[in-house]
Amino acid sequence: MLKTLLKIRLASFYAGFTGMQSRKKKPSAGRGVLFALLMVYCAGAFGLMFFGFFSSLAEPFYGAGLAWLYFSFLGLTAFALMFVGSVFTTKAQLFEAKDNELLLSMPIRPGDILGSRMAALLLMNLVFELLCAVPAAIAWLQAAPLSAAGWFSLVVIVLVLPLLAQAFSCLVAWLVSLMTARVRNKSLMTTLFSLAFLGAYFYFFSQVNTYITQLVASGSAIAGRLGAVAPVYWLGDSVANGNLISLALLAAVCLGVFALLCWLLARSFLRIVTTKRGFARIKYEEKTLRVSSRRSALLGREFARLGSSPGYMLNSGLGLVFIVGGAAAMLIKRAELLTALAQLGFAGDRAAALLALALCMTAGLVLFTAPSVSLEGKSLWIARSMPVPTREVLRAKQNMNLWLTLPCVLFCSLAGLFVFRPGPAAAAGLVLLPAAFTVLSGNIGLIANLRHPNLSWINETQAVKQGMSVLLSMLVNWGLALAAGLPYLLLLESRMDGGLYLLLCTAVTALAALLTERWLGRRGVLLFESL
Amino acid sequence: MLRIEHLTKTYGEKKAVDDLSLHILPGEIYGFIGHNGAGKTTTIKACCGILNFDAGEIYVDGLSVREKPVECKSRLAYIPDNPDLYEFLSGIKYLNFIADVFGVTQADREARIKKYADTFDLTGDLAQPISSYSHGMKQKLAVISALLHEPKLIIMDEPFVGLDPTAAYQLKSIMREHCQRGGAIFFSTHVLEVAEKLCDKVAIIKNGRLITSGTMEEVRGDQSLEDVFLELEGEAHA
Repeated sequence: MLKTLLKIRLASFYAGFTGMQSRKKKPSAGRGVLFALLMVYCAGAFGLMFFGFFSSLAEPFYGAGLAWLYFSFLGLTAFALMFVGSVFTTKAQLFEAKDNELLLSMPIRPGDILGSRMAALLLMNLVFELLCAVPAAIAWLQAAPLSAAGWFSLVVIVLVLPLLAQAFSCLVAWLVSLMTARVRNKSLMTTLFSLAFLGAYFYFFSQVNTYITQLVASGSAIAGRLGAVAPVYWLGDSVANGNLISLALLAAVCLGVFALLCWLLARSFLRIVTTKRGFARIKYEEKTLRVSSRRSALLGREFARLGSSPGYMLNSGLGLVFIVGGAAAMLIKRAELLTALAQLGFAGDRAAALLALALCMTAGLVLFTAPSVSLEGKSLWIARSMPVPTREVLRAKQNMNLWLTLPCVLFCSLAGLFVFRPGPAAAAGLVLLPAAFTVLSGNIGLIANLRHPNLSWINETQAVKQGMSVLLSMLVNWGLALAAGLPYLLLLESRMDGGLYLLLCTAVTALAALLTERWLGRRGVLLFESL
Repeated sequence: MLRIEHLTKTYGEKKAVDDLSLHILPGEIYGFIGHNGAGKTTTIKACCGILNFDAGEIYVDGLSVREKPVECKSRLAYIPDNPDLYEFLSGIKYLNFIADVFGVTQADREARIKKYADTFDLTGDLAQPISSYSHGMKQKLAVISALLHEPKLIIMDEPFVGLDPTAAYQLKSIMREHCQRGGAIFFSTHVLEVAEKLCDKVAIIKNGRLITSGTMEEVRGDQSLEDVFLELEGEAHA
């Protein structure tokens, strides 16, 4: 039974990601190849990032005789990646899955349901871990050797560390569920909690360079402090020195903590998933109802959907936090920024061009439209039965994206104008290019979702986080921003005026936005009507 | 009010609806009966402009669903077999949204929401999020939302599923009143006793093809509707 459930769980992950659940046709081989290529691309991008990071640590640590600290750091990084990558999925899969009650009504032991969900999450964690561990191991091999016992330890650690990370994810997910279950504004609370969590995470990664410098410069002192935390030391010691006793101790900790958590969850799983925590009952009092136009009503529907879903807000709107945060940082750290850019040869028009292109990259992270069709889910019939042209339904999705993204992008552009004081052409480009790109990226998200919808999700996370359309939109957006930026930065920077280049990019982007707009008005409407 | 002419819809190789023709007049309650997978929901969705069809034509109040889908939709109301509503809205916000979309005036929407929410005993729960509603409450809300713009034609797919006896009785009364005012109702059901008591006309469909249709008396003769249905099903099998 466990095997069957696990198969279903993995099929659900795969189908949710590729959007094959809602396809009436048999998936083509080409689609499978595209999916595989995307995965290879993502793995490659992550792998290169971690390889660069660990390459800078391997040799200095080996030279300083702190090999164990290198592997401890590998373990900690992999642990952080697994924890951050799985905590929200754990919350959705374990505590909020819509099929919990259906499965519980069948002759299936609750332990098997829990076990299948846990196994799928562990597998996901293992993938996250390998993204970090494989490049780190390669980086080490380039600098120093590793004994057979060290290799053995590394393999065992790769297998047991996801247990510890999963245990922590379950604990935090359970606490978040518990904390947000009874509050009235659950979405807001969850969003704030998640933002704080992600803020801490991004703060850590923004400081990585500082940490590396400190690690390399004062490895011994840090080693002393980390060594006091026994499991962290055991982790590094078992790989670097091939110490099998340390390995056994670490494995015991991972297995023990995970077993304890499974025991606790198994005891309370049934109660957790079947208890209706109840809402504070709100008594309806008649009042004047606000009348809106159809267009406003449709836009309001999109905002209401967004406001009700922390997952949607966080996964699709995180780029806005970066844009506004970046603009604020630019204004606050104006002098330092100007000095740093001047050293790299960027000032005035060139700096404005750089900012415009960076802003396009960041706007490419704003993905409100990419899951917006999938989120219609089983209530799609409402949108389809309304006396409203389909184009208006789609336009409401585009407009929500514009209402939220354009002001933030404009704020950042204006901050750039204030900081860099570019000439008229560059100033116009700095304002117009990111604005045009915002329109284009919103259209791209909607097109991607119309082509790869997933209407049969069992929790919203599948639609907003794991959908093929979300990944595709992000990659296409970044690809376009890079295609616009790289020719200038690599070839034309010294030969062409930054302002002129920005205006050229703006014209091309506006044309692309127009073409996608026409596609949505014709093919997009037909696709939506055929869902 | 609703004219279906030679409707055909295929899914891949399978003909879900095959050359179906029906005519529902103003003032009629028209029952649509068939086994599971007979093509009832496909027909209903095609009538509401939710599903594209391959051949034939459907007219609502004289307007082609294919050519004037928006105008047709503004004249009809659809209640699906499973009331999957917007769980992120409260009951009142959902009703207000539907009223906005159908362009119902403020006075009318307030009066109708009060009338129908009181009828279905849902007024006290309107401020609650729909996600907290039971299946029956969602079904009641779907019915109320369908009545907000006073449609000429109401198309319902298994409307009595999930309704408690009182709500089912109220719905039947509303259906009758609606038709007395000149409206029309086309609905599918598996509850033959309800169809027998409520419908002026009935159509029986099997594997996408119309087996029989007409007034209740014409179809039923001296037998019960259940006997006729089972007999026709048996003949179709033979």
